[in-house]
Amino acid sequence: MSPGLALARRRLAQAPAVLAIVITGGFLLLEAAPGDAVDAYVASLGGDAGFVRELRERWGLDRSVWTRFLLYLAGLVTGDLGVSLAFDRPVAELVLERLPITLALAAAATSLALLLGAGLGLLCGSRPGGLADRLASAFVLALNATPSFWLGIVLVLVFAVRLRWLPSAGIETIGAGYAGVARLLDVARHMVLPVLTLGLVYAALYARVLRAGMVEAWRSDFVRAARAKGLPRKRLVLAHVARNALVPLLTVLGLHGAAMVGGSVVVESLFAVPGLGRLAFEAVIARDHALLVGIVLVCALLVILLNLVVDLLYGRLDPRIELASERR
Amino acid sequence: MSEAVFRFAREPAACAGLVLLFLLLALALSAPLLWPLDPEAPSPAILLPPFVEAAHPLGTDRLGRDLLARLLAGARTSLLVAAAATAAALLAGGAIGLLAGFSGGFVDELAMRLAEAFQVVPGFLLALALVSVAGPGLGSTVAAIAAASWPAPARLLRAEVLKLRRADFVLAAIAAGLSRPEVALKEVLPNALPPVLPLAALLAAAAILVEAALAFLGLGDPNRPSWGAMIAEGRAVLVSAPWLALLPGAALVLSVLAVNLVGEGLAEALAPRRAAA
Repeated sequence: MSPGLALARRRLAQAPAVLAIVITGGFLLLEAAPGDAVDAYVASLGGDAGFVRELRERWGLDRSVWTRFLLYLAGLVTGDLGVSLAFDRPVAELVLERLPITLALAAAATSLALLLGAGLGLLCGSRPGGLADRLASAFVLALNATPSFWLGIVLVLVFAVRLRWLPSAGIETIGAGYAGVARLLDVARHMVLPVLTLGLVYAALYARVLRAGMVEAWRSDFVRAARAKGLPRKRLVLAHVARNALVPLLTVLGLHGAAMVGGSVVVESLFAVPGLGRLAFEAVIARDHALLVGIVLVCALLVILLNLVVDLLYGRLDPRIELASERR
Repeated sequence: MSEAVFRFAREPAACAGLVLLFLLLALALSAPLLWPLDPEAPSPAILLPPFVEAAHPLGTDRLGRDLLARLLAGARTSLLVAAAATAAALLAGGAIGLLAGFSGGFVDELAMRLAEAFQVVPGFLLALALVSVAGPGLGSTVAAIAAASWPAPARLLRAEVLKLRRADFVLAAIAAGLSRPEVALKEVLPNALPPVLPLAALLAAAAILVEAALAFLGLGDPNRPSWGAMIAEGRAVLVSAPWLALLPGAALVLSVLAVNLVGEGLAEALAPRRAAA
């Protein structure tokens, strides 16, 4: 069995336990929230004490904690994440509606971050300590310390307010009536600033990881051997030094796939992009805990899947990775 | 140890970070003495730009509140939350990691699955959910950030324990009759610290950013000035008074940069000696 496959299999074996903990945590969060679903429902739509009692009975909220937990689990099994009170719609439906936008945003931002981060990382790591490395590293460090929401505001100030090149918020021009390619271009124009905001922050991170991995690789015996052999510098940097920095980069990529969904909360709220992140923010503002916990569960599931893919890629990148050693 | 200090001192970037961090700490702590203006007191001089009037060197916001006083108060919030959340994450994560590493078996398995469960939920989303349930405030901000960041120190300490468990000096301590908790705290913990310090810096830098992001979304402590909340307020007058959003952001970048530089310096200084590097 290939090492990547073995890693993935072990992860798959552990996934049910992890998912069970996440689900229990989600249920506990719902229980810990002040008031239950009926309180929230009645607070927004009204109803007398009799109606409250009837509603509690119908939703099983008058039962014991254990029964409620079982009911919650039974719902999850059938894909029922509960009902969002703020939207008066099933949580699962809302999440599925908003998810593609966030996935597209995250994919575009990750591509940009990888492209830019790899470029900067290579620039720094091909000659650590050189002038290019010093300048680029300073830029990367500063970018790495920049909060995404502030970067977004600065970008809006420059590109939307001063230069008027790009729209500052939303996902398309409302009422413009674009169709087909024109609409696609309109959406793309609206997504430039959000993608740039989210992507730049991660570009800095990837650049740092790549540089650190390359610095490490320069010190290794096989690179010294390759140098002694007289390998052309370009080949040495790309095929030996950079290649060995790919594994930590992949690790960070997998770990931060999760963080990016978190980051999209801020960026989507800032730019009014109707994705999953903004939905989470709307849920918080509306005190819609069922919706929020539903989003948390879906994100956890997505991250588990992403980690599986990363595991499968590991074996391809580094033949030294074996199942015996605990990763991370 | 002294060797590590020398190595840290030789790195100009690390030293610059340390100086910057000390400066920020000193400014934040001495703010009531240095600039005793009330950060919440409104004045008729609204939206004053910076460097115009000596009474308000960095200008005022929409309510005429002094921006310098608010920036200093924001520094206190930011650094307090970062320190408290990092300490909490290190303590909780460290304890769980030590326990998992020493116990092995089911306890280890459970602790690691728990850590993983916290890691598969996007950190910011987890913090958001916890603050949403607990209600905004300083305590819930700290707890939420710590809850999202304890798995990293837990994994690190567990790995260190597994590495050190078979070390000669640990076996000698066990042979000498030290109890398990004694071995864990007196022998293993001190030797596992070198990689923990850079991680602490990393966690603190992240905590500053998460606190700011929560406050930016209006979920911070409403009774304390916070850089994130100030940026959100400044956004409303971005065109007419851009400094209100730009200055707190610059303060954030400087703080996180300082902590990151110190962290990198620590990582470099404490890394195990490489053969002929």
